Amino acid sequence: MSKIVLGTPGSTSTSLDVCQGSFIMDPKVLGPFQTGFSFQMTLFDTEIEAAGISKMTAECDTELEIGMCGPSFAAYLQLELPAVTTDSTGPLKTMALHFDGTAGYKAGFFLGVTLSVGMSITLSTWEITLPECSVSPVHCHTEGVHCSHHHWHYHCDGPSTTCEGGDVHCTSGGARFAKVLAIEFDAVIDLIALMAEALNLKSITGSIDISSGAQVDLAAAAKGTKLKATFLCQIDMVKDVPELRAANEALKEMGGSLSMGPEFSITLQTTISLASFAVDGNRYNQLTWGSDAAGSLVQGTLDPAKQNSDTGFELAFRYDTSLIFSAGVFATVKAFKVLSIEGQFAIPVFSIGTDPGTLGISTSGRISSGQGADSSRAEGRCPGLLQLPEVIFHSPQVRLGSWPARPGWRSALHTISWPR
Amino acid sequence: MNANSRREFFRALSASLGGALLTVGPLSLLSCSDSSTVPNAYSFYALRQGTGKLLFDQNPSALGAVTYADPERQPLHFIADPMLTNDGQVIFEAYDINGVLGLYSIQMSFAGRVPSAQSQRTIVRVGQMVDALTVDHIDGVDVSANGVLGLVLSVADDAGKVRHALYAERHGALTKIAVEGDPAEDGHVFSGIFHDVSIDDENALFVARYLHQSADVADQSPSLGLFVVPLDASALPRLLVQQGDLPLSAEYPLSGLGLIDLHGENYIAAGSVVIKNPGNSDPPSPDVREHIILLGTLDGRQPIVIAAGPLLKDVVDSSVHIGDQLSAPRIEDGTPVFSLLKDGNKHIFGSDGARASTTEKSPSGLTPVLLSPAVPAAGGSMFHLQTVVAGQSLDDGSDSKRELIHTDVSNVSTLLLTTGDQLVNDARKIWDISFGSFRRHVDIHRRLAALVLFNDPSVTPGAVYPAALIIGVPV
Repeated sequence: MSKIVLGTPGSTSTSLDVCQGSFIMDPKVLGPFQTGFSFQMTLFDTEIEAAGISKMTAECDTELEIGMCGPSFAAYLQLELPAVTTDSTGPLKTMALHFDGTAGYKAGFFLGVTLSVGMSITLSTWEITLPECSVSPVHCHTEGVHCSHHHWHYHCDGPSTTCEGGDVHCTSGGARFAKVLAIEFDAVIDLIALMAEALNLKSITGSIDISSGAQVDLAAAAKGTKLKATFLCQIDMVKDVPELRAANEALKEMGGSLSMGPEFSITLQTTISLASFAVDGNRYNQLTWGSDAAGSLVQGTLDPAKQNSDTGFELAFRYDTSLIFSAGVFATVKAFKVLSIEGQFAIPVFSIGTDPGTLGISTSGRISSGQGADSSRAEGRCPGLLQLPEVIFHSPQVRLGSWPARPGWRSALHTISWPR
Repeated sequence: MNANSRREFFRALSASLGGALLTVGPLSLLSCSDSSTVPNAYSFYALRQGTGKLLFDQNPSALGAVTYADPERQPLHFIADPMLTNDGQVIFEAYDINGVLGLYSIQMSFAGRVPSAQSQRTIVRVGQMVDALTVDHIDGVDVSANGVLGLVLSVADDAGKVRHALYAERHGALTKIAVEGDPAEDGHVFSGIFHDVSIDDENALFVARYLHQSADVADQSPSLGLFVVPLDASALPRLLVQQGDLPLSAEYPLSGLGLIDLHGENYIAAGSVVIKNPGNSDPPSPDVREHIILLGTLDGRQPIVIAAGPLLKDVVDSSVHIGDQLSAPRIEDGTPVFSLLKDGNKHIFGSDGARASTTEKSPSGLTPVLLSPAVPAAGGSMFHLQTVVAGQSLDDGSDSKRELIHTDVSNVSTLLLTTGDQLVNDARKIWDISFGSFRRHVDIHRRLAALVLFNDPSVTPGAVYPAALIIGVPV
């Protein structure tokens, strides 16, 4: 079984945020304008054992970010300068041009909504020229012994063998290995305080994060799409619940105060990624995306047994969904400069998770070339048997579970014991 | 629950709160001293007469809605012991005759033979308008050595919505530091819950909940942070420590922050960390919290852990004090003190170990059973209140009393004042003492301010009790 390894086994990078960047000038002079600069070095190794070629590439990226940052907003332009990857080993020639640009705007108002949108466009072209070589057949002939008699001796020539052909002819063909056009889209929407203001809550926040990558190459397809939405709110019930209000009043008598109420959180996360990919019967299974932060390592296996004359396309996706609902309370009790208790008490009430399921579409066809006994039927002119798309669906198993409550606060309140 | 048991509870609570709650009950006179002499070269003077109250049972309005021509003479109802500053301010919280809570200041003069009160002013009171908002409650108070006040107030707008606000008071002027919705550095926004505040002449340090303004999905929950803001600059509050920080290691993220104290560039804070899957069991055990005490500086460096709960014993190095019920962290000149429970005994710890303990007998020869939070003072000394067992049954059935203790830098303790003593200018015997409810009760000259309650044999549950703010002056 051949092995394909694509990606970046190791890389170092620095994240960049305009709000953490360097001031271009004294902030008193230029206000909120800031800029940042980051440097990223990526080392990755691409190895295609099946083709007997290997490649080692070093890539240096520079990234420039400029923008302005205020207490509740940031507008920025982030540019990753074009980088050219070079170097090749073996009979492989490689050239890659990589451009990555990101532009976005983050804006927020402390009683409103924060919206952060970023779009990244990556265009990479990979031209890999594989030498196509052929060896011409060798044709040899042997000449027999040819003797001639001179007056006092014989002169013989031969036997001789003459070969023709056997030359190796290589052409620099233009086999394109991969071409990548990637567009990734990230959007984060924070719902902050607006609802809190409307509902008279102490604090409430939520976010929806959509991170999607769409690339036409194998590696990028495996990256998949992640969707994560979180929502959390804390409600100070002291003013609304008579018992809590009474407790707060009692604490006021002690110079203390109480903030207490429920908190809820919901996390919904779905990951859809490529499970397998097959073209012309060459199936790549067990595609996995690496655990590095950049998510840039993909590994799959190529099953040569599947190589046949089938022409088709098969795509199977793996998805993993989970929903976790937690509930709890938070509380703050304070009395003078002596006692302060602050705690959150969260219990995951239930979760619904799915074992990774698979959803795939497969289509394949067979085109007869007219070879063999039925050649007279000229099947080669017919489309042959075209299978209808097959939908593969593995029903997920739903997990429903709960966890025991956490044992509660360990706090200075334990210094006080209620009398029996 | 009968009245006695509840009073016992409140008494214990009072002790653990530094005697903040003036309670009645078995704690009573002990005939150990009938003389008016003041032990150990301190003279104690009654400064301001008033009343103490019984928790829950007492209605301040019982004093009657009487209008006094001289507000400085109207009866006040003290709820805690007073603070004392280097410029001679005695600051205290009290209810007035109409049951309205206020924060007051008495300007002292120590120029004469005996200390005298020069004037009294109201710093803030419930119902007062501040920045077009009505003060609903005084939630937290701290004062610097030189009289700068930090206040956490609940304020209500015209619609009646109550929110927290953080103020500073200097030279009689209240200045807002932060309120719900205000931004901090890095775009964080205060969500409207302010916890403890500590203030000095230049900076205010406070614990508050806030909302991240980050696009990082992992950081979306309201968080708790320790902020510092300079009082003389227009800079936004700067986040020093926040939930999720790693004062120990990546396995133990910071989860809570409690009481704090600031002195110069140093601060001390009570906090807690999350211990994930304690015992490394399979399936994992629920997370638990364990308390720590942090020591840090305002330059933003990661604070260090100087005390930790027992579950962290194997995580911290040997220099970290291990104990339970870590509380009341305070700092003076970079030297911390804090309370903890260890092996069933209550201790007050400093940098080098226990400075007071229920395992050590009091200078009176009696056994302490409760230690109130210590008040550190210049030169490495500290003052604290403790409850001791008298070893004999008193008239009311109690066998305990209060003692105000001074401990010098060499850990030599001196008894300053105790139940049954008398003030220089008041013939009544002291019944109860409250001291240490706040941070600053001792000035640079080691004068101290406390609150005492006088016993009245005629009292019945629910009544108010005579009380007095007192000043102790070394002689």
